[in-house]
Amino acid sequence: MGAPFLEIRNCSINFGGVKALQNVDFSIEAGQAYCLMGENGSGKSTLIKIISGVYTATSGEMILDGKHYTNITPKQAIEAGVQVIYQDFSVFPNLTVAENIAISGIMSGKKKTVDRKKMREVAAEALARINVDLPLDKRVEELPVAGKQLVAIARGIAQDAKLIIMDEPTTALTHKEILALYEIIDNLKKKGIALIFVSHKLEEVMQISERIAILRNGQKVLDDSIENFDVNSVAYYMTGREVPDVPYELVEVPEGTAPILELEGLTMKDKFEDITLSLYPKEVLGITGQLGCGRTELAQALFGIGEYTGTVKLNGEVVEIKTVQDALRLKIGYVPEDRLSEGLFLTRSLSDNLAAASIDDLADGIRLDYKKVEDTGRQWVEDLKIVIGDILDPASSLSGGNQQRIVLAKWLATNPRLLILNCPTVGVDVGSKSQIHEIVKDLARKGIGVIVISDDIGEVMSLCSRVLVMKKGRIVRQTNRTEMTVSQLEDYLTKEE
Amino acid sequence: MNSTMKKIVKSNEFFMFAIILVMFCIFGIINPAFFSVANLFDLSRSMVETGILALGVQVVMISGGIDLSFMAIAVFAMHTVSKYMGMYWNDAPFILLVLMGAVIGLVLGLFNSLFIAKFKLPPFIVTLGTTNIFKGLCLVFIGSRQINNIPASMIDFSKTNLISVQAEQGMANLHIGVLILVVLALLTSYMLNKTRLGRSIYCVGGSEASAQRVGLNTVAILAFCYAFLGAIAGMTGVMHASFQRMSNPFDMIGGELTVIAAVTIGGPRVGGGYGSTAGTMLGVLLLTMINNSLVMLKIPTFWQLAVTGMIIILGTIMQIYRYKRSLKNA
Repeated sequence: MGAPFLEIRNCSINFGGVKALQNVDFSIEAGQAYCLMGENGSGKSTLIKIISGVYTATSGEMILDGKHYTNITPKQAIEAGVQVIYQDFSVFPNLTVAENIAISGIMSGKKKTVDRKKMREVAAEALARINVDLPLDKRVEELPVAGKQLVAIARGIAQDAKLIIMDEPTTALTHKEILALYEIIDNLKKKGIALIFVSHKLEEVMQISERIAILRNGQKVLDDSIENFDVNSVAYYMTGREVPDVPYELVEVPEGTAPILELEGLTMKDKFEDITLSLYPKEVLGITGQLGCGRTELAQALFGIGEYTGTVKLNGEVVEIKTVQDALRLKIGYVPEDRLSEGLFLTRSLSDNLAAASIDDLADGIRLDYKKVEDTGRQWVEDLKIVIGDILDPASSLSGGNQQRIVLAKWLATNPRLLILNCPTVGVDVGSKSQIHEIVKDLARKGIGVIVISDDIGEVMSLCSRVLVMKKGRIVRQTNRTEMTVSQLEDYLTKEE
Repeated sequence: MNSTMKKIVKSNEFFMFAIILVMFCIFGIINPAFFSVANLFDLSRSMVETGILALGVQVVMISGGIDLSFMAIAVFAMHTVSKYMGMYWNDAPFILLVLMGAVIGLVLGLFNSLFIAKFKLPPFIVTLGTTNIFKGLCLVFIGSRQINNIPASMIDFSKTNLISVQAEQGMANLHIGVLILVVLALLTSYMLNKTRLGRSIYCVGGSEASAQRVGLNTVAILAFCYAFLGAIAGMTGVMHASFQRMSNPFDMIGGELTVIAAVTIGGPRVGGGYGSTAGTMLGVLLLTMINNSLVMLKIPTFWQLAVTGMIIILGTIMQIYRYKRSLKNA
């Protein structure tokens, strides 16, 4: 092995008074795959943004491909071969696949004009290198999520990338697509491209990288070869404490217990079909399945979004849930998959967010009692141990795990009978994840009906007392952790019919 | 049908073109004079001002912004050039006058850019403010009176025709302004489609954050868009005074929405990233045709306003419907 492709020495950066990174050293060689881990706010994204030139380090230096930089610009970083595939892919929805892939080349060359023929050639070649086939002239907005990610990857390698950084590359992909991505990554490594991943999914990290670096509170606490780790030790280094992973107790439902929720033959055209299930007190019911299996539509139907046919019984009583208002009246809460766009008012204060679903209870006649709104908010923050600055800070100021707890608290404030959580820990770090799991388990113990929808198999198996598996809109299997292991269930899910 | 043909037929521009063709035929059938050379030449001349302004407005809209101040910029440039050149250099060549207008507009456009691109303030609010600033400063410093003593070359310009043909009643003239519109449209189209600058405007309109991440200088790109519209508006101002053979500082203002409407029905989605020069020109043609022809069809002029409004809403509905359908087919 020769000199490292990228070396960062003694790098620090401050935002206002906050030390986001302190004296971090990092280096990576060609063909190496590194995983960068840490809790939300540990400085991972900051480090990436320094490498890609978006942020300028307060002190320290960077050596890229033998050249020293103190403050690199995004353009210089791209020219040196650094490509970042962001979590949101950073594609241009309005441009064609070809133009998206070739864009860096178009924008960084000497020519002021655009050669469309060459653009298509560059794009086709990049796609061929990762062995995928996409329509070059289609607008990217018309592609599914996985297609957008492939465009982002192709863009990375089209530009003679020598270092590709992927931020949470698999959150939006189905299991099959993830396997395809692993293959692409292997190919890239063989071509001598260095890779850095940022990920929360420990199992995935173990599969694709050789080394791991862990950041905690802006400092690098560990940098070692991946064989020396297991899931538990990584979690320990990230949080600085032991993270308990106690599975939820399996619930024996006594004969004759009345279920909280019963569904009979629930159907939504083209989305799901003939769903029959019951949820008993003290149970956490898991529903899993691949992206597009109808799991999200089922959850939304129970919350009054979308038209369904079939019967819904809540505490033995037949109810109709046609609108979100119906669901609220029936005391059903829904924690959506995408908290940023569906779960939070990002620019509004935490107290406003917490009060959003229970606003009627906080009103005194027609007048809203702001003191009560804030006090109730503070109470929830304390109860769920949410780490915040001030209750009047905007929701956007929190990290993913704390934001998710705000969404959860908003629904708890409505005193729900039934709570549906759709992928409750996506993009949430291990520490917060286990805390959210504890909160959910407590709710179930108190007798609130809880349905957890997730594609994180490890999560449903540990958190849920019973797991239903959906495929192509139907429930195909019911299981629990005594009947199947995590990997068995994974295999079952990805098996082609 | 091969795929290129299919794409053309499915495009927004083709759809607009079909609508225009149908309306054209209907108007012609109701009143055959509509098809006369004189009317067609007249129609093209009526497109000149709106068309040139629309070229600038579309660039701003593709970048994801909006500008309400371009008419105020046009008036400022028009009145300044007309007054001082009329007083001090009455024989100045027309091309110089237009360039002066462009420079004045460019400076005012950069003033907009400062707030929008540099300080990231919302363009709607900024240009609402600068509209009044430009208007007010023009009235205070340049003057609030109509100016009749405009440079001679401006009067000459208004009489310059590209083609004159003998028609039934007198001469039918195709004004030179039409050529200017066509040349500017071709240049703008080239800029948007074939140059790096043009493509980066689409990038910024599609996603500003992504644009920054591929290393684009988004501040400079946005600054260019508003400066470009400013320059275009300044030129149009000088041409307007020439057509009118006088400079009235109360002219033009109020016409912003017609131009924005023409651009909007031509394709750009609010939010940026979409739109083409062909679509914009078709939008201008459609609106101009309606405004000009309702009179010929003996429909009271007050209807023009209502019809324009209806077309804007109908056009938007059609666009959204077609967009949703295209997503479904994807």
